[in-house]
Amino acid sequence: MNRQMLSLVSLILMMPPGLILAGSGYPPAIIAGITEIIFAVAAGIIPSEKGGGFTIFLPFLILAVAMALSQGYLQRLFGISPIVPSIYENTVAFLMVFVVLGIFLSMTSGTSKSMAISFRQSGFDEKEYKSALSSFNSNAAILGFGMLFLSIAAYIAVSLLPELNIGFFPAVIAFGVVYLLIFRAIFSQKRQI
Amino acid sequence: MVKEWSKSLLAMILVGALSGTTAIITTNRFLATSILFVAFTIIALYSLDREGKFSVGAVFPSKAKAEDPIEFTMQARSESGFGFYLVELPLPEAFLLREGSNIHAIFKGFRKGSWKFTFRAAGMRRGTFLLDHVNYTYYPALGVINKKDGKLETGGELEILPKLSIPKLRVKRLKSEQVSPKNSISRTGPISSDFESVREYQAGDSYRNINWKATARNSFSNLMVNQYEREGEKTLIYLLDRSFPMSRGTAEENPLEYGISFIFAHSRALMKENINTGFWTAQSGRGFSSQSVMPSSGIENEYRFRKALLRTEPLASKYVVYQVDPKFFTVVRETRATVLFITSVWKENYEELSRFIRRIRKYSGNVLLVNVLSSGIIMKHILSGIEAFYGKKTALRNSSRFLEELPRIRRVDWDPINEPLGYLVGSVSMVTGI
Repeated sequence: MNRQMLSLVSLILMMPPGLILAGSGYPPAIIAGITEIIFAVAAGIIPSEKGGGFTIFLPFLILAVAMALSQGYLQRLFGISPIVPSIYENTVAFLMVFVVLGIFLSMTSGTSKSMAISFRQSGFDEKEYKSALSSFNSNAAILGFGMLFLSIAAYIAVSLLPELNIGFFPAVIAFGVVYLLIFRAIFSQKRQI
Repeated sequence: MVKEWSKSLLAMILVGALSGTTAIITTNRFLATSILFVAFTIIALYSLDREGKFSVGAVFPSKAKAEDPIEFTMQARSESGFGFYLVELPLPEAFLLREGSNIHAIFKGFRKGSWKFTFRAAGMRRGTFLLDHVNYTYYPALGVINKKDGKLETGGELEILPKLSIPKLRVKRLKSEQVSPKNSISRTGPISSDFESVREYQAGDSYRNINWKATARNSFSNLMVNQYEREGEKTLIYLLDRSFPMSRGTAEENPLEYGISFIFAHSRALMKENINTGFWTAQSGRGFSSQSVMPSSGIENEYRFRKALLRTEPLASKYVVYQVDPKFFTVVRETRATVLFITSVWKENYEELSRFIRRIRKYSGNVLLVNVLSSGIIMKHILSGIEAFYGKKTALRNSSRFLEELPRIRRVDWDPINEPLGYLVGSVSMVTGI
């Protein structure tokens, strides 16, 4: 996967929340949506050579601010009229994980670009380093998408747990097992380093 | 590179913190997916970010001729780790890349990987070169652990032989205008039944060789013994100058390199004729760590010659003082060898050379100086294309004042740029009679 493809994927991932807001028909949401789209395009098309820069955080920041001013403590405290219509709140909140993935891929694209420059200046064979970078991009994309599905799956699993009604002690045992597994994995990792 | 990845890690932490803050402020549980994504990504990168198990080997021939392209194959294998490997097979300065590259970039992802690289390079000068390791640098994906520089043993040595053919010695034997002593007779081979002379008895001589008639004629004052010729024809010893004037020119083309090429070709031709050949170097400084070969013939001696010549390097010091291993003088005297002193007469060495030649002549009456002219070599590299017009006469005129200072000695001047190696072989053959 080349760097341009990675940027395009990151752009596509960052667009949906903006598109939903822009198509909501509610003026503050349209403004927030269009602003998010503009920043998403900027972040996707021009990834900085220094690994992304501040631009790549802006789509997420716009959405986070819009969400913070639309529901929860701040909105209730100051009585601000919400930016995100209530029917889209959960959808936008859920789609923000795609924006985070877009940021991750955009940063990977920026790193890939800076490494290509470094390889070229060091005199490496162009075909060879491009192949290495392509492999790097593909692996980063696989990792990103893998983690996306894992996080969604984990969220669903956590949401469904109360439905299972497993009781206090089985829950403590399950927690203990999961805790031990994670602890062991991290401990063995530390020993290797 | 590590910095870039560390920035990515910081950025992910920042996004995670922002997601968490937003989730708390908005009380929207769907934002948990963003926090989980960041947490899982960091854990995944952290678990992948460990020191990789990496192995790399290099395959190349053990021998090659100068300027011929040599194929190098590098095979790398990695079983763990997640990041970039930069691999390099360091080539000595005397090598020139012809095709491909000796540095490579690899990315090791989730799966085990093996990579094969091929490139071609040529050794531009003779020598024995150690290509015993491959350097690598591992850049872990996340940069939590620092980059790792490593060196892996490959255990390889590459001999670059001069590119030349062996001249035939006995095709045409011309008679020299210079008067030379009788060919040296070997004193190292097994004793034959051919009578050579009568001489005084020396400790170690066999009683069977005592010539009683000659002893009686001598009034029994000294025991006289018959001396018989030894098998194995003559002995010729090459004495190679390694001093500063021998380095005039480039690393690939200088009097020393031409001198070595000559010795390579000439000695092999002589050994084919069953002539004993030996080799010593004249050097400055204390100790005698230089290469030497005792006079002998046969394939084993050819191998010794090759090894010694490939390991002979010039001396960097401009201060010239000739010293030779004391064994050299003993061997020259014992074997009555013809000494072929290969040098390049110039302002830095002519005075010391005069002294040294006088010393050698005390041990051997059969010394020939091969003067490799360096002016043509220099002209070739300064004004390429006109070296053919810069003939031997001009070169000799330039060094005439130094040559005049030398003691009277048989000398062959060789301009390697305008005269082929065969010319020198013929001239040496004519003068020495070997």
